[in-house]
Amino acid sequence: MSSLEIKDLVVSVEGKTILNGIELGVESGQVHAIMGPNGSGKSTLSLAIMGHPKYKVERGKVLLDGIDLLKLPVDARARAGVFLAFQYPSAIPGVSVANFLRTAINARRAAPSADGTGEIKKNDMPIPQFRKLLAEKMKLLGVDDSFITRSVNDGFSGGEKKRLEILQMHMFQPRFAILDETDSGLDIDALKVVAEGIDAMRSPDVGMLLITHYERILRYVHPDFVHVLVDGRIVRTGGPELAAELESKGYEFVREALYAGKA
Amino acid sequence: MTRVPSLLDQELVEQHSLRRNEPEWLRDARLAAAEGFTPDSWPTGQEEEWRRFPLKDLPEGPLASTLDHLPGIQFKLEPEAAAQGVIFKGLLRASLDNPELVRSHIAPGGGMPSHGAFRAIADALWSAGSTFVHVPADVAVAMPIVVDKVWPAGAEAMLSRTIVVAERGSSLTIVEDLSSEGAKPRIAIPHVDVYAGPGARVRYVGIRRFAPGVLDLGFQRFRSASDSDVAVHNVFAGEASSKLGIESDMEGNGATVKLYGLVAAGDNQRIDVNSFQQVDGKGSQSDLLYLSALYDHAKAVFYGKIRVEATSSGTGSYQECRNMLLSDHAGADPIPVLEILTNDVVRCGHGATAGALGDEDLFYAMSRGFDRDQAQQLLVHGFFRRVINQIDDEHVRQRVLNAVRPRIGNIAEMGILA
Repeated sequence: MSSLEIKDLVVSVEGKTILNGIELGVESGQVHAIMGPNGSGKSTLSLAIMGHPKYKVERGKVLLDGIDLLKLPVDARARAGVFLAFQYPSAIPGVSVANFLRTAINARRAAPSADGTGEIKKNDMPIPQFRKLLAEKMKLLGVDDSFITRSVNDGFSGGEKKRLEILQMHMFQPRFAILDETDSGLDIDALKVVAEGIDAMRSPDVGMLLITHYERILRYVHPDFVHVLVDGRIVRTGGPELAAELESKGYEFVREALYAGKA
Repeated sequence: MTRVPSLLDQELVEQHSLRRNEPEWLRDARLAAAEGFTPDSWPTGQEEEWRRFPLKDLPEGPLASTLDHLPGIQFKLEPEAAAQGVIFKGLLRASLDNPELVRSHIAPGGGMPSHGAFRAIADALWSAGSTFVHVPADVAVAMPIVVDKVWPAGAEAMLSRTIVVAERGSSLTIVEDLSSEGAKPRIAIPHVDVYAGPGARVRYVGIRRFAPGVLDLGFQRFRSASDSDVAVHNVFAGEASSKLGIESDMEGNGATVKLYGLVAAGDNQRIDVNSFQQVDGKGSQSDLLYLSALYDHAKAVFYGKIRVEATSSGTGSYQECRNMLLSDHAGADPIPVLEILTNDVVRCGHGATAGALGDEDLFYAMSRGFDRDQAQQLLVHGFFRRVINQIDDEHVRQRVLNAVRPRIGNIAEMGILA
């Protein structure tokens, strides 16, 4: 059982404060949906947890089983078990999907040797095991062999990019996955495949933070908790029924209620 | 007035030839070449080609090149090719065995005047590592011809000529892998002449991995007859500074030329390339693509010219130079020049960039568990693949990867499933 705790997180971009004291705890096996209007800070939250250099953490902690992720470099956060499915993934021309996945898996499996020399000891996944795992996950996401021979995200459609993000999530088997608007830019069929891919990742060992604008992905991936992010703060938390309420009443309703209460 | 160093001495040229018992015609060819070394041929440093590559620390006094044979060099040819009359020999051996053939191709050819002085030196004093390849008409050499040239430690100049003649309708791939041992400063002038006859298909791959201290002042000329297809890969690995002149001349219609380059440089290396794509004939195509990954204080200069001749029609040409700066101190200076002397052009253009790796791309790779160095290796490898993937032969591709690996790392090769 693991936990990801976000405590009083304040993040700015180019001098402008975007996140204003986020408090959130996710445990293994739980799915938390974070919903919010444009500009509320949803992507900032995901990128700040992962360590994007543009996002400056002014205050707060993100604890993975008590270890502050914010003190670790980006790659160490990934190796600690955090995965971010990007809203806008980068292309890596000239590096095939299969090569990228295998190289990444092996880079993640390498660990400092126990003798304290600081030397990195390789622990590559055997090729047959890699092939088997990949074939299984490709089937799950409905991608064929040509997909994995193409360069990473190079010339990919929006749907293909999101499939690759989910494929990576399955291959890397993180403890916590943050999905940043993985449902955006997808047609109905692609949404179904990607959402089912996310749902297939659910297990008692994995916690998820599902960031979205819309309720529709939550029809496939049923969250345990729904949080509403407005102006850089979580202003409401509830069960799945909150998503339906937002869908019918819109975000303005939350904002109005929030500021009416303040006034 | 620029001081012209006395690198070439006619008498030494003659002695060089006499000592090797060369036929008179060969001696005459050397002496004729030496005459090209004139005060006018020496760069003043004001030329566009030489402004960014100061010629300093040149050896004092006349150059000598007494090494007649490189240890380890092998002129191994597949039996099928040998049976069909393909010649692949040291240049002196070929001059003795096949004098008529060599004679008709050894005369100092033309080429960019900016590199004339160095061409003259190589043509007058060539010795160990010089190579002659001749493929008769309609003969296809299946396996790549590979020449490994390792100049042993020593202070002598490394002066060589490579002459490749692919007759009508023939095809071959030739790989020259140049390296040197020892850290003493010395000059290298590998001069390469490639002639692709009508309809011939030629692939030339030149890999340079010279030791530090070497000043490489090479020159290459590719001549393309009608409907020939030439692709050239120049790979700058190693630790030396290079100044390479590359000229592509078209001598017929429908010729295709692709000039590719990879630069993987670091330390204080300076890689300076001057290209000249002469585009002529009907419907000919000439494209250049140079990619550089620059580390430490390395600098890449590219000054390339495309000239579309008035006598040409319906040609296409392009020049592209991309530079990845992997340190705050690395630099690139891509300077493309187009000279279009006709209105009858299908396409002619250029593109040049120089910049650091994108933060977003690095962040993406690192978010997958690669540390910064590994992420960089991955991105550079992918960047280079655009050129490496243009090499048909898997073994040759591997050789190129081996050459750049010490600089760009190998993590991206780890995941490749055979």
